[in-house]
Amino acid sequence: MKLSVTFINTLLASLMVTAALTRFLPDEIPIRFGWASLLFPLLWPILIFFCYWFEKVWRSNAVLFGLTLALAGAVFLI
Amino acid sequence: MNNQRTKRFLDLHALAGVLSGLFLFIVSLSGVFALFGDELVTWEDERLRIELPEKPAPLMPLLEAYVAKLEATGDVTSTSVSLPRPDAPFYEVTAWFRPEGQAKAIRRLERWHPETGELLPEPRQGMVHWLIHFHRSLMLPRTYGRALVGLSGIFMLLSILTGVIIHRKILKEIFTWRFHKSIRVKWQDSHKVLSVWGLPFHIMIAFTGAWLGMVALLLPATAVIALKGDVSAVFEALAGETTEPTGKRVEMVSLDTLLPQMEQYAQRTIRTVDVERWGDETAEYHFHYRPFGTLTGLAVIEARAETGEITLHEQATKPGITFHMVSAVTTLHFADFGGVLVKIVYALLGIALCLITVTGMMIWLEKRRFGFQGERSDTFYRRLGNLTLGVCLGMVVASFSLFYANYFLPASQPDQVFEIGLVYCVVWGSVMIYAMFREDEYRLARDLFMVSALSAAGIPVFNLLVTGSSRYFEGSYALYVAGADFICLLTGAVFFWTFLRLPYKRLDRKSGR
Repeated sequence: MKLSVTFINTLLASLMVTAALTRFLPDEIPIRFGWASLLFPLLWPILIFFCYWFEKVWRSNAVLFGLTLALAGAVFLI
Repeated sequence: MNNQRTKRFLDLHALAGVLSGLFLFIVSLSGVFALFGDELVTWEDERLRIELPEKPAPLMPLLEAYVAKLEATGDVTSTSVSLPRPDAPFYEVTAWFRPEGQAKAIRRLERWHPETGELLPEPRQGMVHWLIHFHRSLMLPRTYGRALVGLSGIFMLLSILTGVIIHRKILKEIFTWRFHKSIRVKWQDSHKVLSVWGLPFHIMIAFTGAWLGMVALLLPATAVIALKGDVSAVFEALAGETTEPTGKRVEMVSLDTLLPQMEQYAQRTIRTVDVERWGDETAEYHFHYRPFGTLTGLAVIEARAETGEITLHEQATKPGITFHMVSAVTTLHFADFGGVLVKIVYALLGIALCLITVTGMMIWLEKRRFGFQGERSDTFYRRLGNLTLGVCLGMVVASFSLFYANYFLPASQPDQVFEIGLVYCVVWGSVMIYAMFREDEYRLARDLFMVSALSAAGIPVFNLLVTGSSRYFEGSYALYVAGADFICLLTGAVFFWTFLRLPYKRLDRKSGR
C-alpha cells in the first residue's frame, strides 16, 4: 500500500516537473521537451528513493503532493 | 547513514526486486535475443542466403520502374532503399503509397535480388519479428506495450539506486565470490559481483530503455499539461518544417551516379537512401551512413535530386541537441555501434542482468523458506521457487523453440506471427505448468537445464540437416548463419555444463525454521 501510494504520487510529481520544464525552460519546444523527457526516467526513481529517505514516508509524500499542486498551479495559471 | 534508513532501503530494494523481478527477467532475456534481430534475418529465411555481388545491379532503373508501377494507381509520398550488405544481402525498398481516392498512405515493402534485381519472395513476419517485438512491446498495442517495457527500466533504476546505497562495501564485494560456502552465500555473492561489475551498463540500459519506452506516452501527457492540450503543437515542432511538392516534374540525377560520390564524401558506406517527393522539383535524396567515433546511429547527407547538390550534412537525422541526444539514446540501447562484437558484449551483460534478477529472487525466497523471515508455508515458497524457475528457463526453451518452428512453417506464408506466438506461448506455458507440479525443485532445475541445453545445441544440427552442408559455409552471409549456430551450440554447452554441476538435493544444512 505504502509503495503503491508512493509510486503513483512520485509519478504525478515527475510528470508535473517534466511538464513545468517543458513549459518554462528557455529555448524552442523540441529542445525543452528533449531535456525534460530525458530527466523523467531519472526523476521518478529518485523521487521514490527520496520518499523512503525519511522514517515517516507520508511526510515526504505530502511534500511531493504539495510540489505537484504548486507546479500544476504554475503551469495552468501562468 | 543510520541503520534504520539502510533497513528501509533494503526493504524497498527487496520489494521492488520481487515485484518486478520476473518482469525484468523477461524484458532482459527478450532483449538479448532481439539484439541479434538483423543478424538472424538470413538464418530465418533460407531464400535470402544470397552471395553479395561485388557490383550490385544498378538501382535507379529498378527504382524508376517500381515507382512508375505504384504511380499508375496512386501517389508515392516517399521511398526508402536499404542497400545490400553482408547481413541483409538484398535491396529492401519501403514505399509510402497513397492509393487513388484514399487519404491515408500505406506502407509497401519489397526485396530485390542484388545482382539481377528480381523480386524476392515476400518478407516473412515470423521468428525475428516476434523476437524483436516481444522485447519492444510484449506484442501489446505499440504505445502501451512500450510504456510497460519502459516501466521495467524505472524499476531497474530504483533497484540500482537502492542496491548501491545498501551495499556499503562495494569495493570489497566485487572481489568476493565464495563458491565453497552455502547456497545462500553463493547466490548473494553472485548477485553482488554481477551487479557491481555490470553497473555502468545496467544504468545505461535501464535509463535508455525507460526513456524509449516511456517517451511515446510522455510526449502527449506533457503536451496536455504544459501546452494546455495542444498536442499537435509538440508533434509539429518535433517534425520540423515540411516541404510541399510544387507539382513541376524534373529529371532526377541517377542514384547510381550519386552513391559512389556520397560514399567518397562521407568516407563511409551508405546504408540507406530515402527519396522524398519523387520526380518533383523539390525532390531530395537523403543518404544515411553509420559515422565513425560518435554515438549517432545514422548520419545523413541531404542532396537535391535535380542537381545532386548537397544541402545538409548532419550527424543526426535533424539538427539540434534534442535529436543528437535521442539518436545517442537509441544507438546506445540497440548497440548500433561497433558491430557484432559490441552486440556480443551487450548480450553477455544482458545475460548477467538475467542472472542478477534470478539470484535476487532466489535470495528473497531462500531467506523466507529457510531463514527467519517467512510467514507462509514451506509448500508456498517451494511452489514460488518452482514458478520462478519455470518462467525463467521456460522462456529460454520457448525462445529456442522458435528456431525449430521457423523451419516447420511454410516459407510461402509471409505472416507467421500468430503461429510463432502460439508455439512460444504453448512451450513457455507447458514448462511453467510442469514446474508447478514437480515436487522436487532440484530435479526440476536439472530437468529444465537439460531441456534448455538440448534445445539450444540442437539448433545448429537441425539447420545443417535442413539447409545442407554444401551451402552452409559459403557466401558473404556465412558469418551470420554459422555465427548464430555457433552461439546456439555454445549456449547449449554452457547449459549442459551447468546441468552436470547441479546437485540432486540440498547440500547445506537447513537453517532457521
